[in-house]
Amino acid sequence: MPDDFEASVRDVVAMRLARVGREVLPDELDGAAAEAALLFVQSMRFSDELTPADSPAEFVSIVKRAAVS
Amino acid sequence: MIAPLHRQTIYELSAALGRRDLSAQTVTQTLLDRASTLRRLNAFIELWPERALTRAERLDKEGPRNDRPLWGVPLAHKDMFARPDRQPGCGVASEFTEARLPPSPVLAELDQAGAIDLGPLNLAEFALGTTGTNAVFGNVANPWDVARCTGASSSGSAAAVAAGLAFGSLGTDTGASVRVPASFCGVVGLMPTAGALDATGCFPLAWSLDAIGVLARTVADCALLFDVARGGEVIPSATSSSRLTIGLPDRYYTDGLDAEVASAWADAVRALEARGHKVVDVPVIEREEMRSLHRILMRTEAAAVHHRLLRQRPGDYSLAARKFITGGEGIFAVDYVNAMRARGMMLRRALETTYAKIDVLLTPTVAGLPARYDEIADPSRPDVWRSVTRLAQFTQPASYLGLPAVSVPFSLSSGGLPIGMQFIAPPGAERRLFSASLGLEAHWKGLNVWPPFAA
Repeated sequence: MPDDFEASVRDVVAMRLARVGREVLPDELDGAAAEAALLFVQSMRFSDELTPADSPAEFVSIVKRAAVS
Repeated sequence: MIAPLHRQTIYELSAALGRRDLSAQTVTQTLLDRASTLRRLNAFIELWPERALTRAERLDKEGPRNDRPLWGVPLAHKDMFARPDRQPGCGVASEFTEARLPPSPVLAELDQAGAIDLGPLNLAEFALGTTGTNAVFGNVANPWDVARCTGASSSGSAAAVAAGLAFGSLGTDTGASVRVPASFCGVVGLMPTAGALDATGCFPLAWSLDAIGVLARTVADCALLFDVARGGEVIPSATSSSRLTIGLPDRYYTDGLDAEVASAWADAVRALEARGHKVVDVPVIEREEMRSLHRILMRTEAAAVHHRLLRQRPGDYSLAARKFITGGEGIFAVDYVNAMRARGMMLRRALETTYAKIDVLLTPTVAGLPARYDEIADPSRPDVWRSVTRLAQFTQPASYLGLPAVSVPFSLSSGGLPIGMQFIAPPGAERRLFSASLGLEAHWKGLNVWPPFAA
């Protein structure tokens, strides 16, 4: 992951947390930015595979349909 | 020879209570005494001797009934459940919220069945953790080696059941929290299918992943507690005559595997084959990707649950909890929504790729053995962070997919630490999990071992 990408996520996260209005420790912020950036990258490939038919409700429906009696 | 009272199974105990060979008061007092003697395990947050003995006295007066399968059986539960007269403490110092949760219907079912509640059990702060540490109430000691971690977050549940301080316990499992401590403490830990047990009245960690789980010392006891907790018919545990097709994952489950765990896994396969089960290799879907999706859901939902409280009362949170929750505040909304949308897609893929070919999947529950607390005291160290996050690597996928899974004790390491195996099944197939588990439990029972620090 490029450094500038993580840095830009850090800015976004810092802005959000500033809006929340609580004091945030530097390592808290760094950890939050690194986590968000990593998960953003990892989630990209799933976004590409999803179709409009995929929804959170579909998961519940599959659990019910597949349930072994 | 009859086992000491605290080492009996729920079925054995119930038979003795039903014959009136024992009173509910005797059993309750015995366990309360043990809990006091074994305080160093730090399994309980509070003991309720008066309340438990008053209830036992009332049960003794009423007498046992066939429709109350847990009559006079002392249990204790993770402090995440609301009772009619008490809100959950969640392992933190103060009453942290003015929100009132309704009483847990699952606890009410156990109560209705005649169980006795000994008091709330220790856990990781807000159920955020996989080791057994708690900065406020102290770490829970593993009854097999008190210097070592129990696994978490249902740390008190696993330690109390393993040490014979309770005959069973409710825990919660969002990614590891019943199965990992069950494995490290040598007890059976079930995470049922998503939504199988009503989570009303349970303080959430991440509501789309949270499952109410059950811990007990035997497979049959675990099945009994599960049946009672869901308010359904009590079905006797399957017999060993059930022949199952058991899958071994063709990848992803050997990363970082401890040599003793790998050896136990191979022995478990042989034990299952010797009992007539068919064991086959089976393809599995992307484990690491599912772990990422799981983290997106867990962190975002935890951040949402704690958003206001953390702003108002940051001092009520440890730095580790603040870091975890803040991580969720930074995740993008579209990533959260897509992680929810991908859940159905991944489940469909897992059912077609893996579970269409087998009855259950067999993996180790954890890749390694329980660490010493002094080895994991500093989570800012990269090697510690890696080893702690590795604890949930084999258990998170079933949570993301909403599949039922059980950890069953199988063997002891050369250092005398329990090693558990995990079975995962399609939705609703808890019976298959119990059937498969019996094959490994027979081996564990044959070892005839008991935790040395709870003798």
